[in-house]
Amino acid sequence: MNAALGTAGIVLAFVASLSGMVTVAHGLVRRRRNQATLMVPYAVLGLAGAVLAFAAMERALIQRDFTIRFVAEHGSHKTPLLFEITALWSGLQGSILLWGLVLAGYIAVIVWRFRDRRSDPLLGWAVVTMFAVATFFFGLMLGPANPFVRFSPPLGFDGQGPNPLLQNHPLMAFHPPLLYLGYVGFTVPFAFAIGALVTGRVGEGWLVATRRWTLFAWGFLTAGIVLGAWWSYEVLGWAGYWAWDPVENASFLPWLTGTAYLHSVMIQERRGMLRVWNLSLLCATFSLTILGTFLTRSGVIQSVHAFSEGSIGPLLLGFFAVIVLVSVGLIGWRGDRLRSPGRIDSPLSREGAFLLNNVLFAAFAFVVLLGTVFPLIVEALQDRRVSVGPQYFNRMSMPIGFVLLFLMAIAPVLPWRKASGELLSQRLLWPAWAAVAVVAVAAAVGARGFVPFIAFALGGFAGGAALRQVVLATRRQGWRGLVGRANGGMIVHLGVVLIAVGMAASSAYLRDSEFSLAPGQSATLGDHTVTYLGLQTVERSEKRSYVAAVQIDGGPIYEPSINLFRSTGQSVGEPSVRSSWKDDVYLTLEQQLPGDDGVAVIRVIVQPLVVWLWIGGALMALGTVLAAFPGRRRRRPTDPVSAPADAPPASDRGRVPAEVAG
Amino acid sequence: MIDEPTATPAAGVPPLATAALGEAPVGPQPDEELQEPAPSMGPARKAAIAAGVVVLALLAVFLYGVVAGGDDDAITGPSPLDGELAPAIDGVTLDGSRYSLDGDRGSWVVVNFFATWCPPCVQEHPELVLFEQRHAAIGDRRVVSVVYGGPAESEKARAFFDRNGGNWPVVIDPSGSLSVDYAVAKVPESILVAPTGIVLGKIRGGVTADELDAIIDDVEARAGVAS
Amino acid sequence: MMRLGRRARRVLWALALVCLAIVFAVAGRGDGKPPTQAERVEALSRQFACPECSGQSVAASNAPAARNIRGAVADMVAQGVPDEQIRGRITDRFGEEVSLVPASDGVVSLVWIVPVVVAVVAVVSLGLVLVRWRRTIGEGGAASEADRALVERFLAERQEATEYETLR
Repeated sequence: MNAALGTAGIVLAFVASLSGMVTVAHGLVRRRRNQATLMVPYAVLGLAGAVLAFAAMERALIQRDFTIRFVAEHGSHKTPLLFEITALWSGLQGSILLWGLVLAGYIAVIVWRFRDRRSDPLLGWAVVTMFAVATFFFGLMLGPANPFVRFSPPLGFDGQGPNPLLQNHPLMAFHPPLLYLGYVGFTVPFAFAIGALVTGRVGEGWLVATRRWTLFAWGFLTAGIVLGAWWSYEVLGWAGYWAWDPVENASFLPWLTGTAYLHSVMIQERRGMLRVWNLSLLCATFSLTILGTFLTRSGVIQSVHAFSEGSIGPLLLGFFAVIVLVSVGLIGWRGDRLRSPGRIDSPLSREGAFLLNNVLFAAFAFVVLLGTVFPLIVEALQDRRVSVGPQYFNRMSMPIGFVLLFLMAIAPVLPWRKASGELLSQRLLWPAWAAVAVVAVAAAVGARGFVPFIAFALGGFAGGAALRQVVLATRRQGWRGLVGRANGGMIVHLGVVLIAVGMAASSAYLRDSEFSLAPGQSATLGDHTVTYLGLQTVERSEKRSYVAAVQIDGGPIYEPSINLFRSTGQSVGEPSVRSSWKDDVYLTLEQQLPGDDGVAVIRVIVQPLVVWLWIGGALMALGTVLAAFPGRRRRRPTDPVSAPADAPPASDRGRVPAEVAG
Repeated sequence: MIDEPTATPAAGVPPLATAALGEAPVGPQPDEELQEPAPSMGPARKAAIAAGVVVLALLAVFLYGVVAGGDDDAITGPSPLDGELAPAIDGVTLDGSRYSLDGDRGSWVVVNFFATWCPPCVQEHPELVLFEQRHAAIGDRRVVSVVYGGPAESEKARAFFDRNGGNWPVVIDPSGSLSVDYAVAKVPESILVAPTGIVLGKIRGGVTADELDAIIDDVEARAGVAS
Repeated sequence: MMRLGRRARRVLWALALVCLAIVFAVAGRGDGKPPTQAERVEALSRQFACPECSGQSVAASNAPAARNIRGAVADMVAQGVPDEQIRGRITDRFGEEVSLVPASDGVVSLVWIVPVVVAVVAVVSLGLVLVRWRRTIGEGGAASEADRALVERFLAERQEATEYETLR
């Protein structure tokens, strides 16, 4: 029943996407406008099919319908309901199903949103592109990633449930869907970029129309990445939130190019410049999402997060190749025609800062990509096996990060076109004092070290600049000074600053120690005393837990544990964390179980300012939402060409500089 | 890849643009076909071609990764120990006596790292028993086991051997230093030490008695031909 | 925001820089103590991949293989073996793959060199382009036929976009 419904849903979605693609493309080529009107029913049918398939799979998981192999492999009667629901994205086929659902949703919303513009060829080609991507993914689900493959369970069969690491924490319910909303969301701007390239329309109209979509995708991706880091921190048991693991890098790469785009697109909107570069960034971002999926799903690169591997590697690689070749081909064909006549008047200007920002983000993405695939390259060249670990990424990205922080301080106060040193010294004075205040506080609480202090100083500087902008905007516009892209962007910047400071502090001042404690014994690490009180065994349906009771600083009791999962026999540690705005005390019970003397081995990790990372992530998400609200309305479409540098006074924000006739 | 800057290096557009902007009437849209780029390659096209070449190279590497990715599970892979003198084993066995690998010089020795919690280890155990029994009379091919996974394992290993048999020295390795000397990554691993004390190779994963004999026979046959 | 005179601003800037310099002089140089043995073990075990688990470092993993390597590193640190030799011994045993820090010889050194070269080339070419643009500003710019056509087209485009905006 479930399998039949689900398969029907996938077939429906596949056929709708395929027909949608063919019909709309045919109509565009033959210039038959009425065919474009069919995009709405096809999109709705596609969404209906995807919803049907998704609902069927969820129903099967909740019912523990083991006649479906995916449920037999990832579900279990012992698994609690929440993790049975999230089991859908703990396996390859389910993840692709989620991908398909999100994509179908985006298509339906886009088609609905732009229904008045259906006859616009640019929109038409964008929809064709999205249908093509959907066709590929639903095709995968009919072929090698079919989630509804049948299984005949023996009598009394019970599955193993999801990987123990994936049923340890409620964040599992949010992190993957958000990540997918971000990942898949980049299909929309990519599709419009393809539409712009195919039609050769150089105007900025489509940019204005899609920039909010890009912002949504970026915001979801950001939230997904931060929640993923939080999940790693809470679950993996070594108090790390970012390990430059290939799966993490795969989500970070499109984030980097997407961030670069969000900045450089402003130059295009304001000045009509960098068209080809922006289109390339969008194409690169989408290609990188597919590449990341390939890297993590095909097993070419090992990773702790690669929970779902399968035989879809070659297909994803082929799809990646097609996307890149189509993008590169279109850019090569149309690029020179899209070029704009504008230019940057002075490097010391908002657009100059954005240019440097783009170079840095591109370099950052290059480093991450190189480091991620380098082991493969070396193996292909020399049959030599090497690893590229966090040290490499940290060392290479730190200078880039510092320069970016510095830019974050300077750029928001820079006017468009041209700035004077006098102006900068006036606007950056208070941010500079913010930097002084931050390092002074850090020094006063006893922090030491050159690298973290650079980070603190730059963080204070950038944070001060962002705060200055927010204060000025709210003073001028009231609450409206918080919404709109530029203002929301400053909130995002504040979040980034918190994350940067949190990362610098938590990595530089981490203290990690292992103690063997008998019940009642205490140990001290840094400012904190932990007291081991005893161990008890808790039996649950899916696992047996050995739970240690540990008192921190004589206060509340925390319970790190080891869980022995019945279905797989795997034992997985579950850390327990005491968080405060100042520092986190992270406790894990080590695998060695206490002997007769009752001694337990407890690992204690103290890290300052970890909570700032999550607060920073929340601020980034909030800022993105604020940025998505329309700020002050612009009456005119964006000025596409350079206007004289001396025409407008150095306006801070929000104004279209050139005076346009007509 | 920022190709824009080189776009119109010498053309001063702003004055023209301003002039054009100053005038309200806008001419009819120029015929797009006339605007086709000149046959010479523009920067965007050059950049696109360069990007295409880089991506193709990347694709080749990934293709290699997909094709060659399977050999991760190879049972006998090269190990840095091959051809080296086997690291010394000189330790306490489960029954409290001492064992030294040097004492077995002159015989083939299968150094087997195992743990009771590892299913393939449990599975291969009868094969090791068989192998040891085959050669027990002559003693030219011996087995020595090393308990893997910390001090807590020793007790379990004793019970395991009591239950499943196996009449050969079982060395405990509380500090894990033997496992590091032999670069054990994932039990079971069996290291073949030749009568000369040189490591012949490492078998990752479970072994069978026939497999072990076949490898040793093969080496002896080749050595016989050579000598 | 308070309006400051030019001189007052200069003074405040100078004061800020001096304060920064003082803080960095006091706190910006680490605590000067050599790393303890535990810190060395910790730092070293972050540099090795756990051979049993995919992708995690020895410090991050609790697998037996990781514990063993951690133990071996601790032993060597306790015996006073220098870091470089410890790295060498572990990679000799487990193979180059176990080292998370890529080597700086042969093909592998490219992973360090290429990004630096690319970054330098990118920044330098960006600078060159900006300089070239700057130079053309003064010349007043002789617009070519192509420029004229480009501007024409943008104006037409904008017209189109305006129409769309007003339609909505």
